[in-house]
Amino acid sequence: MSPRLQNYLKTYRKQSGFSQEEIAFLLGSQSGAIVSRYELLKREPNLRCAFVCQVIFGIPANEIFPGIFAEVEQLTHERSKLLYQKLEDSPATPLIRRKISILNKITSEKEIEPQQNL
Amino acid sequence: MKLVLSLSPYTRGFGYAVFEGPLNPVDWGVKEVRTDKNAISLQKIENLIDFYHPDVLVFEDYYGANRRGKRILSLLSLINKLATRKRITTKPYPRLRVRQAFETIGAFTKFEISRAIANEWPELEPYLPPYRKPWMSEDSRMSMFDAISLAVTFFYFEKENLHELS
Repeated sequence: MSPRLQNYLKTYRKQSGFSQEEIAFLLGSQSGAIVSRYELLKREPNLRCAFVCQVIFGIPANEIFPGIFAEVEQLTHERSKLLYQKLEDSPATPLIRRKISILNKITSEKEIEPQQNL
Repeated sequence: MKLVLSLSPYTRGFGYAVFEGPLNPVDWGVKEVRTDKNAISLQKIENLIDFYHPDVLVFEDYYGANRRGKRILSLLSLINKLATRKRITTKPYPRLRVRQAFETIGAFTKFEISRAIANEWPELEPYLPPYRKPWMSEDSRMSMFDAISLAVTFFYFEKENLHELS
């Protein structure tokens, strides 16, 4: 089932019982205000923060921040298509073939995805 | 999967809950309002709506209700109007429907309903108010459980309706 919210940091924080200040401490920050900003989507968490949340809650980062993940996935898919088209014009060396195979997997997985959700 | 925002005003603010489907509460709490209660409560409710974009707004059915104070009845009416303006489906439920939803699991009073909710979602257990003695005013945390019970009621009757249709 597709997630409805952009980020579930507040959900998991409340489920765990931690305050914003306590999560901020675990993130290495001094103020709970930063956690509030992440929860209210006023600031995007960095990679380190995403991984700290993954460790705290035991939930993959892409499930805590599905909105960011979906956006990154979409952009990567689009860029993969462009790179694929560019590489197709190159001589078919083993290295190029390997890259094309990976890019093909990325783009075709994204296209298959809507059907899998049904 | 429906995103439901349920609201339960009380004397000093309102309790709320957000459910993503029938088994998944994603946010809950109590918003305290000291002054200009209806205007500020409405603003906070609008903030919740704008943040969560719920499919359905659930609250107590205030039509013909005479057990609630005038200010809260007025607030419930304003919430209904806000939902109409935001084009959100509303589902008001009278207290009787909430009891019907919970009597199937042997919970009849607010106290029993709150315990049943905490039993289903242990993360809510720290929020449980104590048993209310006759001389005590209602704990503000009960408004949060009232909101959760309204959301549960919504999903309960939605499932009942689907069974009838099939």
